[in-house]
Amino acid sequence: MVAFLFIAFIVLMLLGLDVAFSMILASFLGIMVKTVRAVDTNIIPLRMIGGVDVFSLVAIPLFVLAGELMNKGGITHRLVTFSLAFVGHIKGSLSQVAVIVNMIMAGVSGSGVADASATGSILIPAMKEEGYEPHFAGAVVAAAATVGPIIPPSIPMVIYGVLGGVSIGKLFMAGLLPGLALGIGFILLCFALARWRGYPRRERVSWSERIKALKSASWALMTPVIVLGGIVFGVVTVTEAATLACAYALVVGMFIYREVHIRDLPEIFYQAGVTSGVIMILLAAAGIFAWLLAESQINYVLSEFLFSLSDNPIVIMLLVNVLLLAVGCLLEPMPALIIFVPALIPIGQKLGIDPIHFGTVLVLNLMIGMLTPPVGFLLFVVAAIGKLQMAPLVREVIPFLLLALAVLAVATFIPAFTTWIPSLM
Amino acid sequence: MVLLDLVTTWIKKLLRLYIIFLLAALLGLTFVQVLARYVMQNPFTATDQLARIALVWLTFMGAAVAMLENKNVRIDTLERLLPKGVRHFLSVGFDIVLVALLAILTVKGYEVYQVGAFQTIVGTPFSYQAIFSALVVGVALMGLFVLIRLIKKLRYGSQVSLNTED
Repeated sequence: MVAFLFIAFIVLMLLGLDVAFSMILASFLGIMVKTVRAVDTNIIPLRMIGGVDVFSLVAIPLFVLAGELMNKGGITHRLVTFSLAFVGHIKGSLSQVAVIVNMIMAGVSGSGVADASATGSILIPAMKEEGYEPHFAGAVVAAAATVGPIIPPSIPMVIYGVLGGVSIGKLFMAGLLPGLALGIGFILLCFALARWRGYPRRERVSWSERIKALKSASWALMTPVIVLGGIVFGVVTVTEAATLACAYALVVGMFIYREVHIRDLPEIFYQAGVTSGVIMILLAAAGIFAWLLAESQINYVLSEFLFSLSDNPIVIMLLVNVLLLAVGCLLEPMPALIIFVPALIPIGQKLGIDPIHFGTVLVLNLMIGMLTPPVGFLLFVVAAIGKLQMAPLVREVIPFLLLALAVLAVATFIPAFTTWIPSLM
Repeated sequence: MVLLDLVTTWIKKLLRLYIIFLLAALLGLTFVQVLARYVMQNPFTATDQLARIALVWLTFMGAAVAMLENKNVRIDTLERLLPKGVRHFLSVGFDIVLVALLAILTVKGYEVYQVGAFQTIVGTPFSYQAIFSALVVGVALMGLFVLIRLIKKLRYGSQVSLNTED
């Protein structure tokens, strides 16, 4: 049954059916052929609703809205200007700016695809114009966008927290060190590659210009502080932090930067609503698919399979990493989490792994999977934004991927790397 | 075809207004919750429940519009390698299957909706029908959109768009 569900789902998805409907159709077919402990097809709408009727998930459309308000409110643009003022004189500065902006933006939007779209549409054309290899530009933006959902707040962490019954605030904090390590690593890699390839540097700007850029971007820079500060100090819940992020981005965009007008709001809300629909229908579809997998005792099948290979926790963690990287290549993190978290959590518990550590490693894996050729989702996003070809883009992304895998290895085998900051809360 | 385009355009206009309202309501409800908790020191339970209803509606209405605008997540790597004729066959075939699947989901969703009348959502005057109706309306709309797309594909070929603004 498990094999049937997966094969049906993967075949339908690879043939071009929407990912959500591939899950629903595979589930429908699965129910049709399920003869042992047969279930009624009424379970499909019930489980689809169950997949999204969860209050904590309200944070998702709100973080999407905050991201949309930031983009339209000129916040992304100011962050680019601010970053350029400080690192513009370094070789390959635009590529480093892409990473820095994504690290700051990560504090709000919480979605890799949203971050790649926002920064890619500004920075890929800008890098092309300055003579960077276009596929390198795309690779930088794709790699930088994986940092977003690891540095808090993070939509995938919200989903893991809901499914695993783990503190979302602590999960957010667990992602901080791996996210920073990835971001700083990518910046250094961009610098090394830019020196090697002779990418341009900009004129060093004066300190007065830098202070001007800092002043202009200060409101934007405060956004992650407000969102994270509230969560870290336990003042607000994740949903409330998302609400405050929206309110703050709205006030800054409308009354301080004055780039958002009342007449723009319907379009901003509409676009954020549709993007939320795209994410949430995956969760609804994964609701029935994951239920059917659980009903088919995937926990048992998966843990039996993994423990038949080894009972060494390190080997099992490695196998889980390989499995999730493969899954991350094919699936968006959201449905992947819904499908696999219920199956993997018992394995983590059996191995005595801290659920915060386990969740962070899962999310890190799935985000890196989005960067992994040949079907990493972020590669498609930047290819579409930058009108790039897949083969050279894949070549350019490999150094970033290797670095990300190194950070993943550290996060996997040194639990304190993820659990230290949450332990301080 | 003009009639189909007109129907699509009007439904999209209504959905646009409804999605804006839903997201604004979601933001408003959670904002009221923050105020109630921190300013009035008196959290409401109704805002949580109403926000859940708005979230479920936003999910299905947003997904319906995404279907209309071809924004749903799909992987076309393998599909792009296939010959044009096979792609057209797959595209039409999938739409036929989707129309059937969405019709079944509408019927099954309606059965669940009827059962929902017997459960009240705590702190609100609504029953679970308020939540299940989102799925029924959403999948019915998606079914309608795919059916219109299928009719257009059969008439004009696979490269049609439902988005009348294209």
